[in-house]
Amino acid sequence: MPPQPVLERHLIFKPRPPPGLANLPTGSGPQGPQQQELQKTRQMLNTPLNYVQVVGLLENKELTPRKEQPVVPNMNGDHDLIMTGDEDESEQNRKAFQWYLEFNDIPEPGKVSATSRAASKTRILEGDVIKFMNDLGYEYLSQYVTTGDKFYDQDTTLFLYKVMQASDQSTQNTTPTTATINTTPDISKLTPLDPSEGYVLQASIEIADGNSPDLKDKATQQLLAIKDTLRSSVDLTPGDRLALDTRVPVRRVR
Amino acid sequence: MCDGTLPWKQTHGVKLLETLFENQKDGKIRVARTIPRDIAAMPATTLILIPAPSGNPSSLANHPTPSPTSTLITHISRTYSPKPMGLYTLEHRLLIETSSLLPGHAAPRRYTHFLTLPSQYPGKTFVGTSSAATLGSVALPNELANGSATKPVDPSGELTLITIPSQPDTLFPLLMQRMSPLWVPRQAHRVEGGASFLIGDWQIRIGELRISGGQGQGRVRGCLCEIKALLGDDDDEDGDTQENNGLARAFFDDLLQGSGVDVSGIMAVKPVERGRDGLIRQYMDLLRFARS
Repeated sequence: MPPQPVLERHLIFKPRPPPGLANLPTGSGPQGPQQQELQKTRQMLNTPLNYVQVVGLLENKELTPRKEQPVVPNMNGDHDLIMTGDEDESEQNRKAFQWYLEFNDIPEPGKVSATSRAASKTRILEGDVIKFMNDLGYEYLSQYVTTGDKFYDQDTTLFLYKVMQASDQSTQNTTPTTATINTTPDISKLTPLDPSEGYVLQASIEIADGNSPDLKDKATQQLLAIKDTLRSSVDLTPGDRLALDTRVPVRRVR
Repeated sequence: MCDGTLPWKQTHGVKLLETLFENQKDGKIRVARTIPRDIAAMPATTLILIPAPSGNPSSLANHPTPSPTSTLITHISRTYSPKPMGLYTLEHRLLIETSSLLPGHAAPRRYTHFLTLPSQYPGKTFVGTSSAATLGSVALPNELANGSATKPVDPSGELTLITIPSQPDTLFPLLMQRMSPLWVPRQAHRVEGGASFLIGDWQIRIGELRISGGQGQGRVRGCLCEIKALLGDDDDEDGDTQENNGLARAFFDDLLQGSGVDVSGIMAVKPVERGRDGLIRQYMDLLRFARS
């Protein structure tokens, strides 16, 4: 399978502190069923929340230069690709961006040969996802773009990419709208996060059941085999756990 | 022949169309009136829930009474020989704001709904979350009885809807397991093996609504009916949904006549917005209140 050019727009959302956290009743009255319920609610409210991402994926078709319409390197910023509520899923009418709600947990602790973390990905078919996130209890924080190529080898996905950001911080922090997030970003106007313009190579395998040690072992072995294959050109190492921590610190209320 | 259940409103000089039903049981001819499509926007859909007879669940188990759903389906099939239109199934899962469980929570409660209507919109799940807490459009029984039930709802400000694939079911577990400070599951309802019929210009869906999760699991909540006028199209703007709802109610009252179904405590949700999303909002509105 040839490499697939990929562009992903990542919108980072931060959970708002639950409103009830500030209004927790203090003091301990008689221990009744009501108290137990309250204790349960208190516990739920104090569970840490994570940053989540809404990711827009723009795949090969839109990024591969077409013969009839060669894409000029400095692509016009007005080249709008608006998400519609159209149910027509035919090739021509497909939305340019495919949106996903992505959750990634902090990687599992311990000395490991490959990072493993719980992850969830939900495809958004229709709707205003930014408003939805806001109503769900998450506020927009910032965004970045990853651009690169994906290579596939059996179960493994190799993603070679650069992280790009808007050079203008204010643009990046302004809450986007459905229209702006569906506009193809002009890569030439973005600044790489790494000034040396280095690439990240990420090798990953999605496993269906994270509780299955067999599946996890198998996936780890496959990743180690890839590491071995690439040894002469690049050294793949597990990611730094704390750098990959998505949890939002909460003020504990007792 | 008109039995008087039809609220007759001669507005704008509109001439109503009449559809005749011959009741094969009593030989009477019944009339349903609809507004011609070029005058009124249709179809609008009305949802109705006939609550199951309440009582001690254990005593009900010992002396089972026939459910209103099977009674109604049998009655309609016998009386009107309707055209079968396939199955009717539904799944609804409701989450509430965790903070609203605290004592003294003053603000109106916010909800997140997961609704799947496999027989109508296969493969899709509609997720609606309260954008700002507003009152629903569920009419109280006494309001319905005198036909004054019109509680206007701001359809734009109520729920923010997105659509996700039904499978794999990833978002609901995420909310349950990873967003528990924000949302907590409340209840789930299901319609399995419901039926859909065509009677004149009306499509009616009937199914037994059961609690499938949360308190009272397995219990029958009632009979859920969706009544849709088949004339007109969704694009018309200047509809008189109130009139339409009145017609749907009159039609439904006609269907119920002689069925012996106890209609006390009946709940209805009028159309508030046209098209698919309007229907989805109606369902979410009704099923939020289905728990008494």
